[in-house]
Amino acid sequence: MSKTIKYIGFILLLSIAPFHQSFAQEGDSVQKFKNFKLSRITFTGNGYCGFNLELDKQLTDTTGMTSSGISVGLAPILLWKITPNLFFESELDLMMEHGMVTAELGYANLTYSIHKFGTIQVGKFLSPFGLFSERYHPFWINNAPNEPIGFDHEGYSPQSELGLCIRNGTTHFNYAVYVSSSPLMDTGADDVKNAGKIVYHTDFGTDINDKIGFGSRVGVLPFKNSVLEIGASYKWMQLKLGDHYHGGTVTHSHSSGEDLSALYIGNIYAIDLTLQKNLPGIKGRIEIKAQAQYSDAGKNNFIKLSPSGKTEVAYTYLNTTKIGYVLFAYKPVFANNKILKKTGIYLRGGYMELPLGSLWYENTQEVSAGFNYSFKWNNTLKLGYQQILSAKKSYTNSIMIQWATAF
Amino acid sequence: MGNGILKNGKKGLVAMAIILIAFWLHSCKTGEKVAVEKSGAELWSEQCSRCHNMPDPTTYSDDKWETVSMHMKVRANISTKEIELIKQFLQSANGD
Repeated sequence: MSKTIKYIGFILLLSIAPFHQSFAQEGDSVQKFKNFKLSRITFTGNGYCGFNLELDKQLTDTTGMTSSGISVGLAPILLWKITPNLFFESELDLMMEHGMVTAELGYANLTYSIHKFGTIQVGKFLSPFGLFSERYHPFWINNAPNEPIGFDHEGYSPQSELGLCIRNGTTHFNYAVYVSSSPLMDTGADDVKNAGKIVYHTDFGTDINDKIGFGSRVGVLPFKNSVLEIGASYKWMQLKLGDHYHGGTVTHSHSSGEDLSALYIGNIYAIDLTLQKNLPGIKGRIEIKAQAQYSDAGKNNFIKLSPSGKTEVAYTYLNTTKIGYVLFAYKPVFANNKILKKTGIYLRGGYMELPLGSLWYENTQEVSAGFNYSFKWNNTLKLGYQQILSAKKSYTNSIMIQWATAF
Repeated sequence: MGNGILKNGKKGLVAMAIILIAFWLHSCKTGEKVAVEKSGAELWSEQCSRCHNMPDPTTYSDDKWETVSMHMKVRANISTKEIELIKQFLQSANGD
């Protein structure tokens, strides 16, 4: 870990060096700083409360809990503009699902803004990989009452990074490039079925990978009115095997043949698209949001119990994952009726293809549709229906209701 | 095999660095020129609705818009000039 911090510190110094002239050019920055109010701290946040009901069967997961139930979340956010150019933000994620309460740090980072040269961000920040994790995941923003398949909290897409990020944007282009701690690869110690999963969701409390990774996203907005954004993301990771479970490290007696020093190189790629356009002809506004991604962590070797349960056998699989979704939404914002103009509908399709040969293999598609009503710009009630089709041709139908707010 | 992947990773890093430097130079050159063509109200409408419903200007006081706009500048990669115009519009329209 100390190596990681040294690398990040070194890169931070290198990053700042070319910008030293901009400090000199901002002649009035000292005066601005003197006049600045130190009280510029804002407490804000978002929250949600929802109910999910599986209609046709009550599936149980490995912990024996049903998938139906109430979920509640609250994410208080602290924003502190320390000086005109220096900014701190942090978010705490509090969640209650299946009667269990979890609390973790969503992000906490310091940002230095260098006028038109962009910003440098250090700490834990939302991953700029694709757009869903960084911009669309809060439920008051997400049109649907749940995440697309594979993009959920324990899913297969990077969610946050611990490291350093440089970013900038203009009307037509934006980019983010970052150096961060790589994710761990699950040994399967907590649940043997998870052996080889890349653990994108980590609280960075006790289980940090000290191997560096890097990534970037480039976004292009070809039209002046920003109606369309197309992005491409790439992330390179040095995946170290780690014993991971929710919130910490487990003590586990590993099999003698398991190579815990193995380091796997992972690459993950994504393309994303966002289109939103006012169409007075149909008295409304349409939105299309899409993201597709592919990850490759090479051939992985693990050990499992034989069918008899008496001996251990080695197995190998190619660790590739494909997930993606397309969401279409329509809001009749130009309707004459006051109630109608606050409504909206959405339709979402998604897929998730997990590694064949792994014990966590799944090949699943989803179709979701729903309706929402915005009482105010930051206050929405949603009603959704989702059908999930697995490779075994079994369907799971769910109805969800959720209220989401930002404050 | 491992070395091959590492080499590919390095090539990827070099390619990424070249692309990003090009974007960075371009953003330094054109960022301000494009922004000043639009009013704060127009930018508020365009930029905020890229992700969520447009916020009501009266939601926050002048001081709070100061911090919230900085938060959004980073989150949505909005240029300094553009976020400044959006912030000025929100502060002028909130009745604070």
